[in-house]
Amino acid sequence: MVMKEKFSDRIIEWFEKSEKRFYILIDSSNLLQIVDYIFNEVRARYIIVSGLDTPAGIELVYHFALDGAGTVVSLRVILPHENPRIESIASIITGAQWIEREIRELLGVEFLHHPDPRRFLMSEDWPEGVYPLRREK
Amino acid sequence: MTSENKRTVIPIGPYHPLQEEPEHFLLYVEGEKVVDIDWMAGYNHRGIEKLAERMTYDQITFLVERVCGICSTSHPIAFTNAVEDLCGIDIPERAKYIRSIVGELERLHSHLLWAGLAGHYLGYDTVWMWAWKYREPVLDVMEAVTGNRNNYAMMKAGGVRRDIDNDDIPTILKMVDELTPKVDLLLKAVQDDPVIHARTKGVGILSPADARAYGAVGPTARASGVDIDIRRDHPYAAYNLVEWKVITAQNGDVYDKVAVRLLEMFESISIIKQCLKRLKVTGGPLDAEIKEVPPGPGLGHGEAPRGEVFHYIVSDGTNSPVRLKIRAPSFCNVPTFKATCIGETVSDAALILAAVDPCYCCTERMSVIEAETGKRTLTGADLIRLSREKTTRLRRG
Repeated sequence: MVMKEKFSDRIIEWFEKSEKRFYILIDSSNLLQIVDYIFNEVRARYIIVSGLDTPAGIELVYHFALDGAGTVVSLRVILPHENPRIESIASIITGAQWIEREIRELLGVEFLHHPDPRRFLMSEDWPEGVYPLRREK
Repeated sequence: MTSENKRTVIPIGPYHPLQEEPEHFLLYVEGEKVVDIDWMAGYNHRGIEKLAERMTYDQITFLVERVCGICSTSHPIAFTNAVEDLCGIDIPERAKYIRSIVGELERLHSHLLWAGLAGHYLGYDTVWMWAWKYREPVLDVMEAVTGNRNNYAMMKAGGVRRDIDNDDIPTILKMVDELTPKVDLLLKAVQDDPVIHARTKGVGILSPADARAYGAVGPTARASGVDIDIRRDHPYAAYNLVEWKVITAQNGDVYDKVAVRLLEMFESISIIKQCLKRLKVTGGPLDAEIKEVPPGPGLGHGEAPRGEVFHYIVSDGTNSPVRLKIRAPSFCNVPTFKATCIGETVSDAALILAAVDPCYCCTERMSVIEAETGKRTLTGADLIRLSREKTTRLRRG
């Protein structure tokens, strides 16, 4: 893939699960630039963002489909457990704002410059700072 | 005993017994015009992703079948695709045909259900009754083949849980043959009716750029000329073994969303007939055995009646996943309301919301707030009434 060379200095780990599945670990500071490239230049289709609490940190996986090639490219970022924060991609992909709100409530990740950071899923009396998808230490 | 004590109170809503998934929309209006719309979710959050972390891969196929009651087989298909992607295995040919047959039968009954509801919103109750009458034989066949009208439990990682008996093939063929002229009738009714045209053409337009920006999928995207279909683009089951075509339209309005769904049903019927023909001559096992699930990620998707269902699994090599992420098509299709409703009239709003097929409940829990002059609240029933009154006016005019 062209991307592998273009962003070679910004890709921490490149993993091909199969010829149709690419998992690319990047640093959170490069997220916007690479998402912009995948969405606007490669014209990949945004699928969704998955969030996961791992021993190494909070992992976010941004899934994109290359429908013409039957391929799914997943960008991975790992955020620290303490105060996890990352830029919102809603400025590039409007539809991502709702899943970002969901991840904020379920995993406690703060999305910087989010256009609408109100509560979305959890009821109003749910306490702040309690995140259902976080794992016990 | 006083008379008050004899009273029985039956609460209806917010969790209405008829609703499959309660949701809440706020529609901001100025006069007749919609100026903004807000979506709040979580009323029926069942923690399915969290539950899956405590279940085995085999149990999860039953769990995810209950994500949705209408497209109940789409989630098991996407989930088993994800497990098979994780394990790197291919399923036997007979299982592929069975998966596609069940998947397409489901699309038929789901689209018929929706066509009926769309008719009801428009004030065409005959269409509603007829479409649902036509849906019954599909469900009867489902019951005969799988044992249930819904929640079929046909899928399992590696293949299918039970066979379609070759003796049942003529029954299924007879049903789809009889359904074809009925779908044709519905299509012609939509194509020929000037009132339906007036209500749906040019209403609630979703541009291709917006469809992409919101990540819209399925008929909602295809009606806007976005040529995507998971069945063709990321082939699974038997979709690359039979001949069919992806239906798209160009205008992205309510009319095109109706037309795409109706035309898709002919393709579904064609896929079912071809698969049944192949099924007759394809023997072999029903599933590939999965002995171990390796650690690592696996993802799978499937084309549900409403669009792409996406499942992402992270495995640590044990018999339960560390994480299962599920994305249903409505999660991406519902926010397109922000692009399609604003600027439209209140009487069209119910119809535009219904056109993405987000299930009937979504329109039932909608509040309308007057943006300039204080507050007022309309229920979903009020919105349907407004929509139906508009059709009556057009008919008379």
